[in-house]
Amino acid sequence: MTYLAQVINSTIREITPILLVALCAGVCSKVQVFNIALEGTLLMSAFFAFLTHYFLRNIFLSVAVAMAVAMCMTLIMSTFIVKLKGQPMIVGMALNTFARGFTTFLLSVIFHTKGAVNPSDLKGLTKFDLPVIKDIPFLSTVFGSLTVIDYLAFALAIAMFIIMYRTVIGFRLRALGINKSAAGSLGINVPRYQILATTLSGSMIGLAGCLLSLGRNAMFIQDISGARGYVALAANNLCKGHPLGAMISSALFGFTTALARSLQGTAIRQQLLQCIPYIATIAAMAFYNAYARAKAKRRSL
Amino acid sequence: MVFEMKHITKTYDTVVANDDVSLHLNQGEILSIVGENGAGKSTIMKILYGLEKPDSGEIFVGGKLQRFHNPSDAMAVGIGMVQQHFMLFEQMTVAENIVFKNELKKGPFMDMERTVETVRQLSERYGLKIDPAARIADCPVGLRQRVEILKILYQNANIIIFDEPSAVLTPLEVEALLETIRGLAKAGKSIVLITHKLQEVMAVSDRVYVMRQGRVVAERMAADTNMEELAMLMVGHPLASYEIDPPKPGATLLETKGLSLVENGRQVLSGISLRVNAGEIVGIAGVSGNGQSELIRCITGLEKSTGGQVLVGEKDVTNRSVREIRDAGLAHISEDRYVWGSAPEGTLEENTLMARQDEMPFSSRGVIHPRAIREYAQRLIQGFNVKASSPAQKMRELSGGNAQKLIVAREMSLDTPVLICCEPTRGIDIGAMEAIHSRMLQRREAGAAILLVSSELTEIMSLSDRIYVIFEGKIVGEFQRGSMDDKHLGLLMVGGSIEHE
Repeated sequence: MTYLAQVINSTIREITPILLVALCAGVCSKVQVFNIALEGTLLMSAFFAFLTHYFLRNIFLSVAVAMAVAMCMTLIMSTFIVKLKGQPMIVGMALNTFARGFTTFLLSVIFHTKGAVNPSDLKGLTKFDLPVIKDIPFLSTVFGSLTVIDYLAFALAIAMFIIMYRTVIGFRLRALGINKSAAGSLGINVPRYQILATTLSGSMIGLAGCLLSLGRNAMFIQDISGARGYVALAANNLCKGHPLGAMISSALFGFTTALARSLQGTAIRQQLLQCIPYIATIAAMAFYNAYARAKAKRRSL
Repeated sequence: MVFEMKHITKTYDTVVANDDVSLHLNQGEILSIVGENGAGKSTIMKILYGLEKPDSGEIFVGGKLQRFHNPSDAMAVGIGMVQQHFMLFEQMTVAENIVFKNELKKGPFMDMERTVETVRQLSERYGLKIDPAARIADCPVGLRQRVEILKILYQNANIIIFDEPSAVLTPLEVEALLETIRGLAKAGKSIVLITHKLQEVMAVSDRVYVMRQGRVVAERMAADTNMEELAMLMVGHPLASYEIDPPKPGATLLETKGLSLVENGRQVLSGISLRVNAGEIVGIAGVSGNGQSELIRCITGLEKSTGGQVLVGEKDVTNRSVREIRDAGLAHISEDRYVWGSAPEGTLEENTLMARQDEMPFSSRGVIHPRAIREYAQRLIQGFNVKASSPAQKMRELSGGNAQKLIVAREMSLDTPVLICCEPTRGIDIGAMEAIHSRMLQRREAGAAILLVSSELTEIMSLSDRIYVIFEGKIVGEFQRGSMDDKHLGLLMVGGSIEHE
């Protein structure tokens, strides 16, 4: 029973960073900016969240810095793609490669290590215990040691849904993503909308970065993002950029990651376990596409 | 006078698109601007709508001098334009499309109830029936155009410009559109109609400007002119009426035997048997959507038939690959010049090379020879009078008529015994149309077998030696030149039969 509660708890904590990144990916895909730099953005913001906290010991400032860094990365990405008409794939991969090299470099210059920094005296994000739930045995473990940002992730998913599907600004963003020239013909400054929307949504990757480096304990490991950016991209593809759908698809990937982790130490080979989330990605995409095609076929008959 | 344009001149590179053009529009008037492709009629309207800036000249709207930097400026003074290519958000609803940019709000939120209601009222006021909640993706072309018109009315435009509005419509939809245009004028809107369909001009306009080579060459009241005069003014020389020698039919070069197609459980073609002999043009007459497109696709290998045979010469090519069918001696001017007929993003050279890329002198052992290709492209461009700045230009930069001429040039220069012409002159001007027709007649003289599909009945009637009438995927009649009249043909095309008369 406790074991199950722990699995659920660790699943939730796997879900939230993916969800936050997927929400940003959702906005980017709705406004037709193909953002593959999610991974690098996540890594950079995780690193700078940790760095700020390490030197200044101020959790709020760390979160703010992480968000700012993520927004900068996204701004660079969207400016290059939208304004300078760069190939999205090249721009994204360049930023990802840069993030990986830059964080590794600073890690070795500042902390003289290439692996992990785990200062024992540094606390992570404040844990937030729900008032009544913390006294119920099973649920207290399920919702144990979650941070404000974990809860915020789900609230943001709902907020993003309302923004994108109920407000005027969301309507315009979705519309211009469907047909840029139609929006432009009515006097909308399409590039400005695209850059602003992607940059603002980039702040959510900053929050995800904080969860990675400050979520449990404050620590930074080389490549701490661990392909979550790509997984989020897949999660977003699966839900077609719908914020509420992102909760479900992120849950799928969070669950498989947690599953892989909980199976560690069993007879199954480590490398195989690490494949689980990615195999699930491919399987989910394949199933979804097959389903969508079948549905389209039924409609056309 | 709701607007006046004075001495507008606009040049692109070396081409003078508008040369000292002056025109005006009166309140509640329907004004047509006619001219061939490239005559400058679209350019002058783009200038009025703020899409292009003139090199010199002045625009007055409501008596005030205006300088437009973009369409928003034009919209702000009440000018709206229904573009030839619709600017709509496919996955959104009719109402959402109409209010975009001027949304009805409740705080930061969309007020959908009020939006739908407003759009409904607007559509009722102008008699433009639409369902505000329908998704654009589910609307046929005619409805989409109506949405475009409503979009402009929603923005309170007084001057509405229609750019080739009937090019994409079916005959019934055209009727409805003309009715709409009349209604709008009656409601006090002032209309500018850019077109080269003279029947429509005569049907709705009050006044007509004729443009040629960037200039306004004539201004007429519609009541004082006729189609013949306008056509002459447009092309600048009298239209050739085709004098066709009697056919000297030879061997059958193209034949279908009981060709059938079942698509999604629907019988699209049933037992089509036709033959085209050397030295004759055979037309297929029918209302669009009665299986013409599918028939041509089955013959040319773009679609697999489900029964029957296709013979090119002696050879059975039923359901062979496009390549094999073409190699058997068939060339194909396809229905849609950008989908099947050319690669819009490719250069003119690349487009002229298509289908010949493996031949000497254009390539040998898999390596292409750029100089030979360029010379060939230049020859076709000159030979067919294609207006292009260079063979390295992209296909999509050409006007529709010129793109079509290049495709026709390519397919005809293959000198195949069988030539299929599918809507060879759709959406192009009279000059280009004549050029294409005379080339077709030349090929006929040279002994080619030509199969012609066209939604323009006059085109079929004036060119064909023989006509098959197609209705609901069946051949319902066959006529020789001279033995047919429009009335009988028209009756057969809509499913009637002559015996019953």
